[in-house]
Amino acid sequence: MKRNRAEKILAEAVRAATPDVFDSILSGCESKGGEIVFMNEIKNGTDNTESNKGLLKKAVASAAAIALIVGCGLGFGSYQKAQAAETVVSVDAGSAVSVGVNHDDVVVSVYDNAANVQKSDVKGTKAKDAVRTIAEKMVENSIISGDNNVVLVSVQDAAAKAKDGLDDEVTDEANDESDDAKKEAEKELKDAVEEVLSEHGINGTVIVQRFVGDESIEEIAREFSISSGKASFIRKILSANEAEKGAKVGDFAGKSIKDIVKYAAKWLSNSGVSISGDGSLTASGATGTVEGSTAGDVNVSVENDANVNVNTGADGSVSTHVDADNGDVKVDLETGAEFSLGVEVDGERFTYDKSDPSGSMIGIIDSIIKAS
Amino acid sequence: MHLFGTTSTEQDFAQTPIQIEACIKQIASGDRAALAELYAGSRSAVYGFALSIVKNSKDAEDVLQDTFLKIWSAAEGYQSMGKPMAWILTIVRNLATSKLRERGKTVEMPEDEQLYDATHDPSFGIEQRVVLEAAMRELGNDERQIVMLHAISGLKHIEIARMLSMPLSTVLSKYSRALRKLQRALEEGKHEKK
Repeated sequence: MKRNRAEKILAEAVRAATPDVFDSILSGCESKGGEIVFMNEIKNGTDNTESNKGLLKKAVASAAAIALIVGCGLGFGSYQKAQAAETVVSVDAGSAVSVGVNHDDVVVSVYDNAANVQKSDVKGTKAKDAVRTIAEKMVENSIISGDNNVVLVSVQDAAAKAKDGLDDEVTDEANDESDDAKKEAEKELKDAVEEVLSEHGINGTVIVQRFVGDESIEEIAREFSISSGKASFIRKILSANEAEKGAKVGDFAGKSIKDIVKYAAKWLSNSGVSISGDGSLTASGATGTVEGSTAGDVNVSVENDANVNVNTGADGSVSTHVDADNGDVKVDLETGAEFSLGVEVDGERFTYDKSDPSGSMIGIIDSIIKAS
Repeated sequence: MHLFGTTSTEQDFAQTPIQIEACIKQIASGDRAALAELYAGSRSAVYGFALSIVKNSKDAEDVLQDTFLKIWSAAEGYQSMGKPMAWILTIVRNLATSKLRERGKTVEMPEDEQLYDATHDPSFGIEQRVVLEAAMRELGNDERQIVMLHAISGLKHIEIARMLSMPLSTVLSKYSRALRKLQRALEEGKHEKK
């Protein structure tokens, strides 16, 4: 054996074992303002301070920047592509954990780590597995519980920044991803959290939203130290709530997703949200579709309920109301019979059990999210 | 999935002072893309040298991160002397030494399975593991640092001698001894495998 063979193998081994910490470095640079936060300082007990939470928060904003920075034709294309977070997935029940995911759907970074998830537990795993791990950790840390049982899973695409022409390759890939694939990916994330809830005997609800990050969302996230997903969620709820002009993001930033949903129910009720129109309900079938609208257009179907005989008015009209106390959405027929609602948006159907009031409300909010 | 950069790319970069200096200059003006380039081209050299001093993957990771943060903050004060890699590695050595002091560590290295299991790189085979373990467990501190600086950073023996404040002859003899140990570990690993 030649002497340099051992040296060559050692070099290969070290290169393979070298961790990637560029996200953390970039977030440190991001927080600069003349002051660098070193690992030594962070590990010496200031890891959970608000300022460092803010630092980590800024990493969310950095994620898209990483995608751009590393895509600047520096001659490290494949490496940089593998390390660039193209999507940020966050799991939020009030406090959040977010992960940066690359083009291969592999986690490359961790942000907003409210549940103290070990980086090594999620880095290098598929997004759905990471989300599952995060949900597990959140249950362990009582961030998700029987009482706080509404979980928001957000998928933030960085494609909008790529569309500026700074990274055509990323743009092409983002555009190539079909809607079906996106929906499938969202379903996987939702299923992952629901499985965890089920395993822990938590009767909860998972909301999934996909949005494109922009500066205003990042600004809200930074200002209130919340995930970009929660910032986007609150903004959507606020923009859908024409009647509650005085409401501000800050009023809800500190609330759990469940509480936000409850408040949203009240607004919607106060703003006179109603879904009504021509129904085709019959006494025997009690099925039919009515057209309606909230802030966004949705189609609403009244679910068939075999246990209830329904009589409708001569014109088949139905009306709904939102219970301000519990967010329940009911359909009142002329006879006073009540039904749960299903909401259909763009051909996708959401059905909600009337035994889960918050779930019913979430259906409406979900439809707003999808429609906006 | 291959998460790591190619060998030749990093080696070429580490041995191109002009390119490194250009990066440092751009970093001084706040150019994050230049920081990304420098990082991609030199992170293994930084990590390897840090590892050779702190002998622990977690501490080495901290040093890796702090080194680039230090470069980011100190680039403005960099004085070009044609040896930018030596400047970077001096930062590494200072931070790693501080880390050792901070942790109160001396020579003993705890079992660090994470180091050997940390990689998902399919190219990390049995030989790589054997040599890396041998470098961490069987080499003396000076031997490890010398061989890392030569093998990964591409420094010449005379440059290593200057950096570590050792006579060139000492560096050469320690380097030879280190390689013999690594070769022996490789041979033994091969036999064990059989």
